[in-house]
Amino acid sequence: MNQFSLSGKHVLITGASSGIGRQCAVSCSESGATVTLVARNTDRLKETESQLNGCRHFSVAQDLSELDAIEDVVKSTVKKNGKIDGFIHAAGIEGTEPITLLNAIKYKSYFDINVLAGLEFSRFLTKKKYCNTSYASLVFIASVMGTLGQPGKIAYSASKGALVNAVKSMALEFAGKNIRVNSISPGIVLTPMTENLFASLDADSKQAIINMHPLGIGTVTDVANACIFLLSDAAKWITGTNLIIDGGYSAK
Amino acid sequence: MTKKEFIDLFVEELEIENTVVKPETQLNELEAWDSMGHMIVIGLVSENFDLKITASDLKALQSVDDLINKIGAEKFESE
Repeated sequence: MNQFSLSGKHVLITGASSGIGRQCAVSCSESGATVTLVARNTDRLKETESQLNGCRHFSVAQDLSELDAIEDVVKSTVKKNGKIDGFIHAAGIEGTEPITLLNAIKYKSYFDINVLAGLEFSRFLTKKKYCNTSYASLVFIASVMGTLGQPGKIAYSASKGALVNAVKSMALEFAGKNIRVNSISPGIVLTPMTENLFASLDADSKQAIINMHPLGIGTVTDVANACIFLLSDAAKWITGTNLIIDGGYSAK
Repeated sequence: MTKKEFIDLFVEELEIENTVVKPETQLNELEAWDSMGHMIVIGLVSENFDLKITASDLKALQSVDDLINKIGAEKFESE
């Protein structure tokens, strides 16, 4: 049995309709997992589903800012595809806004999706009735901006930093159930979200960002591979950590 | 809340699956009666009865009925 395989595991992925979440879904399916996809946009979910390997996958169209709906998503997922072995919270919103343009409502919109939706999923899917607790694993996609700063990133950094630290307490609360909890902090990876970011910058600023990454800008596959590792039994002694994948950005 | 409803909530929140919990059930015989279990029960009691109990209060209890009496039997509705 390959320790790095996800064969026989059921993985629920939020934000699965694009970017890192979509690649995580594709890569998990290629590693043998049955995947449940959760995202807002039905058409884009179908597009992700069409790229998956195997056929037992399942999609749920749900706006994750509706936090009250999350228990039903978990319940229907387990009913349809069985108990959950793995979770990836890849849903997230990003923005570059200086503090003068931010306000409580905007902060809350970052926190609802980036943090609270992930924590609500964790609350429900760690229940024995929804989860295979022998070697379950939860992975949260944070960001290097969760530990480092940059002008214009106050709301985003605050939300990702919250995630990095919530993971540590969750790891301790769930250790007794053999559920592992980790975060991954990617540097800049090419996704539709970062293309929007680059589109808002002039060529020099864009080049400056690229130059901050000694190994260049990352790909979604670089992040998905790390998720597979953390979900797999190969990582069974890893919990409460934050794995930085940034092409050397934060080594400087 | 009746005593029965409280016991049902206790069973659900502590995810007790293989034991039928009754007033005379000994807390120490429940696998879920560990420090996490105590933390959950302290929260449950605070939310439902507006009452603060401590982990050392809980450690002194023997049975589920002791827990109900610690909260105050008069605070429960009759069945």
